[in-house]
Amino acid sequence: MQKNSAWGLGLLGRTCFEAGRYTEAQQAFAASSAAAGYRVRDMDAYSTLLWHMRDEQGLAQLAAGLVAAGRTWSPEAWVAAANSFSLDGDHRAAQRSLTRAVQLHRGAVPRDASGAATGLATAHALLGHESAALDEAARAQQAFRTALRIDERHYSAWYGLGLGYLRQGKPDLAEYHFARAVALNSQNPLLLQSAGAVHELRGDYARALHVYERVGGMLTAPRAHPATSLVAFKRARVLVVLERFGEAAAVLEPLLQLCPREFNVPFLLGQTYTRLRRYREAAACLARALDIAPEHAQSVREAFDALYQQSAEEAVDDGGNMDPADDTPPSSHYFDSPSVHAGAQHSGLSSDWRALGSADDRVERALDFDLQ
Amino acid sequence: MVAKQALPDITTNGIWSASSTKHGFGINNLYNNNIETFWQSDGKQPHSISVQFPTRQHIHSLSLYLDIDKDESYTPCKVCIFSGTSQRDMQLLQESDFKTEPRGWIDFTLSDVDGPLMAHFLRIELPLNYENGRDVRVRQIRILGPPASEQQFRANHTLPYTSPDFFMFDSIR
Repeated sequence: MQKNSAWGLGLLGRTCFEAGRYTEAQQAFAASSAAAGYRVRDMDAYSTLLWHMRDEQGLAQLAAGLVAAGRTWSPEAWVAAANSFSLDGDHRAAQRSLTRAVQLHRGAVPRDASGAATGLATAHALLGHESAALDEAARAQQAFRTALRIDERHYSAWYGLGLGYLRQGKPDLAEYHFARAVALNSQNPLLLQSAGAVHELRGDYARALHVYERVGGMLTAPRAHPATSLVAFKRARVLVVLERFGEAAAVLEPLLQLCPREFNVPFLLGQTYTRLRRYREAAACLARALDIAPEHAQSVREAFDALYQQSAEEAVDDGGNMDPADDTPPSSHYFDSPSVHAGAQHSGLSSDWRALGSADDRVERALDFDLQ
Repeated sequence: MVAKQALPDITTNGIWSASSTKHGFGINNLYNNNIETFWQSDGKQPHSISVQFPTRQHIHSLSLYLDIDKDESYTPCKVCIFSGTSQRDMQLLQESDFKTEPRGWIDFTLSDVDGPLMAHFLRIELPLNYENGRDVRVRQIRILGPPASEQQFRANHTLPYTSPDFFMFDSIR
């Protein structure tokens, strides 16, 4: 019975939320708010979770309900409203709502000493994140420091400070603050891989790769964490920078099945295949990326241009080195059999061009559509 | 000049200030795209112009429009460029004496092999004039960012994520 009380479910939601298990957290929070509709406690964490999941509708509904009930006394209601504004892109309104939340927290009779302090620190940390979103670095830093003065163990504020330093190009300070955040919450996948971002900023890609490999291993160990795909993608990105294209392709290929709606996976895989001279597969990947997100047509087109240029240069090179004895047209049945690896074949470029032509038509059509 | 057109102009992204200003020849004359107007100092040497950007900027080059024929002893003959995150931690970046008398745009490239300069704050110091002039005139100033494609490659190596599995873990708050 205790387990299914609003209090227990809220606690479960918070735990899952801070460990980065967002789907389970959402179920727990939803059950909690269904069990006790006018309970405001933990609802600030729920609204932050919905912000992470970019559930605009659910977040707006939650915020409207909470504000209707607790406009004059509930800081959680104003935090929820701020999250809703932030997701909508209105960071100024979010800042105003959070200022109100801070005032209400100060005025409230503390329910219990630690709980109230954490809530106040959360409001300040969110204020910092909003200022960071508006590129107000100094103000963000001040808000994060205020949050840490109230509650030194607020990992989100440590992370926010680290991110601020990362944006300013100060990797050493960023590394220190990220390390403090990880020490407080070693379950969250984003915090764990933050060290990788620091190494990437320093240009030390070998160490960044090591971090992503280690975090990937940690996340898959007991059972697969939902963030595994993102970590694998970041690993592939570093492998591409290190020009280890074969390994990058091996990492990306399973992701294509796991995350069918993600634009960046086929986009990066297409560019990787281009470098591996597997042009037909590259074109297929880029066309798929375009299908997922037609709004990125310009970037896809640039990738296609690089593909054409490289294959054309290669055609010239092959023409120059070609032996008269080897100058036989590729057998026609080669392109009919789907099992043959396109990458193993270099001389059949004219046929490759035909395959690319159809993909290019799709790009053109998509671009035309976009213009209309 | 053709290459210059391709680079983004970030002059007006920042807040400009000067060590001193003669009344009627304000600092806004530096970026009004008119070479007939000018900023003129009114005080002790060294004169300086500072710009503070609200965010960190990628800076490729700095150009000054000077004209010794019109300004004579008001023309600077030496330029020092400082950069940093604010005036408290700025460091000397370049120091150059003009070999020839300046007529037109004088370019200072701030990019090096590591890429463009990244700074919040720039100060252009003008310590000396031709013919020992006291006050200084600058007709135009321009700060250019790196080529857009290069900047885009650095900033948006990855485009915004489109699936919940990815964007859920992209940020934390």
